[in-house]
Amino acid sequence: MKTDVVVIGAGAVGCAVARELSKLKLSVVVVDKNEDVGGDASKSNSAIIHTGYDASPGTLESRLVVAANPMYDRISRDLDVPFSRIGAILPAFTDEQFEKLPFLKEKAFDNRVYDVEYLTGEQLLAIEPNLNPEVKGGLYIPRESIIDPFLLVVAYAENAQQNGVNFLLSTKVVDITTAGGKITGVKTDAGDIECDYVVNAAGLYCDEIASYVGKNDYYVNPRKGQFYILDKNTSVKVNHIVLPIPTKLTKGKLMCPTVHGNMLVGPTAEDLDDKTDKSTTAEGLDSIAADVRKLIPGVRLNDTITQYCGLRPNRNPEGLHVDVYDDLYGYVNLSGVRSTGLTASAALGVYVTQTLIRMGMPAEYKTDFIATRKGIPSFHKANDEQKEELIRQNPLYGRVICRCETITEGEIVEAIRRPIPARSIDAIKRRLRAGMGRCHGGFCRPKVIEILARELGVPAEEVLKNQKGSYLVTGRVK
Amino acid sequence: MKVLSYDVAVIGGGPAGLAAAQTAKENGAQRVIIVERDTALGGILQQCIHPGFGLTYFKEELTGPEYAARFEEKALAAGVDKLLDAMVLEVGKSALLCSTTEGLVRVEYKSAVLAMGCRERTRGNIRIPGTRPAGIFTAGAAQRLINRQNLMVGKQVVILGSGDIGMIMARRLTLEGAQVKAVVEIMPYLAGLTRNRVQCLDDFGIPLLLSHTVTRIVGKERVEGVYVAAVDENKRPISETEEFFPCDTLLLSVGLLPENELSKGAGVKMCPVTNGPVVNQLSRLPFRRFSPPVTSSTSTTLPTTFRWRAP
Repeated sequence: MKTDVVVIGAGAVGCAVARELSKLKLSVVVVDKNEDVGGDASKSNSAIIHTGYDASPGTLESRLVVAANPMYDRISRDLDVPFSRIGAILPAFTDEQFEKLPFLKEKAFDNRVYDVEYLTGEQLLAIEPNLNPEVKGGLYIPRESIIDPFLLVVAYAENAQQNGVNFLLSTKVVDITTAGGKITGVKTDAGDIECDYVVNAAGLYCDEIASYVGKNDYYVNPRKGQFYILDKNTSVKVNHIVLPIPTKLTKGKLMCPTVHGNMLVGPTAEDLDDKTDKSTTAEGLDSIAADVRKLIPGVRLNDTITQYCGLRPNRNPEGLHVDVYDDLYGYVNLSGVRSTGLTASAALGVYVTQTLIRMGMPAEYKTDFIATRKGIPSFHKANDEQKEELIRQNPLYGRVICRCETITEGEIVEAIRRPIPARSIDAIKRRLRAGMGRCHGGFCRPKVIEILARELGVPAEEVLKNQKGSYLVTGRVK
Repeated sequence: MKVLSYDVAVIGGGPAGLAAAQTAKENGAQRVIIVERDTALGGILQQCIHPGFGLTYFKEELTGPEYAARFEEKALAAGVDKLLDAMVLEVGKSALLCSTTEGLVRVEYKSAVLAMGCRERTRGNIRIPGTRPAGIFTAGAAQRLINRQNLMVGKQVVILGSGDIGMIMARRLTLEGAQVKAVVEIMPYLAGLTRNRVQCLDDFGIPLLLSHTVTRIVGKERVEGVYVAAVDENKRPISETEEFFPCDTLLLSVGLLPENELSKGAGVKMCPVTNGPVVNQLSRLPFRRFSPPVTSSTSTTLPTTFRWRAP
C-alpha cells in the first residue's frame, strides 16, 4: 500500500488530524491497533471541553486548549455531535481555598481566558443549589463545556473517511522505516505502507512508536482516573461542571452532567506502570465518594449505574509536545497529550497539518471537501411525526431494542453499516448508547448479539464485546 | 397514526399483565388489550424452561412457557386483545403511545394497568471493582441467551447471589456442561427457596458460600477469574480471606429493581424505599386514571403493579 501520510492512532487527536488533512489533496491512512476508532484515553475521560483557564501559562498546551475551545461551536454543528456550554464553577469552602481564588483568576488571565468571573457564595448557591452551603465564593468559567467524546471521535473519523481517508483498524504498527533522513514507510502486522509523512498520535503508546525512529527521549506512564456514572434519575444533580480548588498534589475530583443527562463523578489520579491496567479499585472508588461529598454533600453514589477507568498518557518529563526533527524529514511526534487532549484535538488537527506544510508537505485544498457529517437519526429525540417517518423509511426503527435509552434496531443496523462501522457490542454502545442505561445491557445485550451476528454474517460466538478475545458466548447449547 | 380504543390497556404481557387482563375482562371490562414488547406473551416465563410452575394454580407441574400458555389461552378465550412487538413509549392521561415496526400506535384507554415487571441489578449497581471484560452477565440475561437464543455463555462460572434465578441457572449451566465453581452469597442465609438449593445446588455438588462476596473481577478481554472473600457482620470483605477463583464467566443474581420509567413519565409518585409506585392498602395508585374502575366490587383483585418471583 502507498499513501502520502500515515497517522498512527485513531483517538481524538489522530482522527482530528486526519480530518484536517482530508481538506488537502493528499492520500491519508489512519492506523490503529484497536478494533474501533476512539483510542484509549479518548473514550474514557471526563468529556469536558476545557477553556485552558488553569493551564500552565505560556505552554503549548495552554495555547492549543485556549485556541480549541471556541472551535467546538462549529465542529459540533458541522459534525452533529452533542455539545453543551454549561460552564464550570470552582467553589471555595475554606479560608485557605478562598485565598487562592485571586491566584487562580490571575492564572486564567495569563492564559488569556478573560471571561472567568468571581461569584459570591450566594450567587453560586443560586445557580447550583446542591452545592455545599458552606461555600464562601468561587470562580465561574462560562465557556467550560461538555461533549459526547465517543461521537466526537466517530464524527471526526467519519467526516475524514467521507473525504477519502482510509482507516486501518485492528492493525498494529510494528516499525517505521526511514532512508537518508526521510520517512519511507510504516510496517504493520497486516502489511507495509509506503509513505512520506508519519504523524505519531499514539497517545499512551507514543513513546513506543517514537522508539522505532529513535526519538523516544521521554517515556509515558499511565495515570489512572476512575469515575462513577450516576443514573439520569438521581435526585441530587448539578447544572455545571463543579470543580474542586486544586491542591499542590492534585487537580481533585469533580462532578458534572454529561450531555445525555447522567452525572459523572471523579476522577482519581494514580500513577501506574502497566499501560493495560484498566481496573477500578475499591480504594479509588471510596476516595471519590469522600472527596466529592465536600463539594456536593447530598450526592447519591448509590444511584451509580457503572464505574470506569481511563488511563491518561502522562509524559516524563512533563508537557504537551509536538516535535519535528531536523534529521528526520516527514515525521511529527505528539507526546504528553493528556487530560486536555480531547479539547486540544481540534486545535492539534490544524497545528499538526500546518507543521507538516511548513516542513514541505504539498498543500493544495480540495474543491470538493465535504464539511459536514450527519449522525445516525435518533428515534428517541425525534418528535412523533419524525418517528413515523423513520419507521416508514425503515420498519426496524419501530422496534425498540434498548429500553433504557430507547434505541431501536434500525439505529443499531445503521451503526453497523456506517462508513466507519460499529462491529462490536461496545462500538454500538458508544455510538448509540444501547446498553449504556441503567440496566447496562441486561435487557438489550442478548438482542444486540443476535443483530450483530446477523448483520456481520457470523456465528454468535464470533461477536465481540470489543477486542479480539472478548467473545460473549461460547457457541450453541447442547 | 393508528389509533385503538380500549377500556383497559395492560402494559406488559408477563404473568401479572396476563392475569390482570383476564380478570378485567371477567369483571365486565368490554375491551381489554395487552401491549407487549416481546414477540410472544408470557414475559420472563418464556425463558424459565425449568419445571415447578403451576403446582398451586393448576395442581400440576409445568414449565414456564407451558404455565404462560395456560394463562394466555384463558386471557385470549376471555376476549383479550394483544399488541406484540410493541414498546410503550409514553403513558398519557388517556392514551398510550406505542412503537411498532408498522408505525406508532396510539392506544386510548379508560384504565391502564402498569405491569412492566423488573430489571436486574447489575455489576455497576453493586460496584464490584476490577476490569470490564466480556463474560459478566445478569442471571436473567444469561437465561435468555441459553434458553431462548440457545447460546452458551461460558465454561467455568461463578455466580454471585443465591436468588432463585441464580440457583436455577447454576443447575442449567451444569446440565449444559459448564463447571459452576461456586454460588457466592453476601448474606449469612440463602436468598432463594430451600427447594432450589437442594434441587439446583446440592444435587449437583455446587458449593454455596454464605457470608462471602466477589471483591474484584480480573480479565482483560474476557473474564479470567474473580476474587472472593468472606465478609464481616457489616458486609465488609475481610481481605485476608480473599481467594482467587479462575473462571470465564460471572453471573449476577443480586436482586431486581422495578421497571418504572413509564410510571414516572406518567406522573405516578414513586416510593423511595421500594423504588416502586406509592400505592394504597388495596395496591391501587392514588391517581384515578391508573386505578382500575372496572367494577367497584372486584377492582381490588386487579393489580396495578405486581412483583413476581420465580417459584
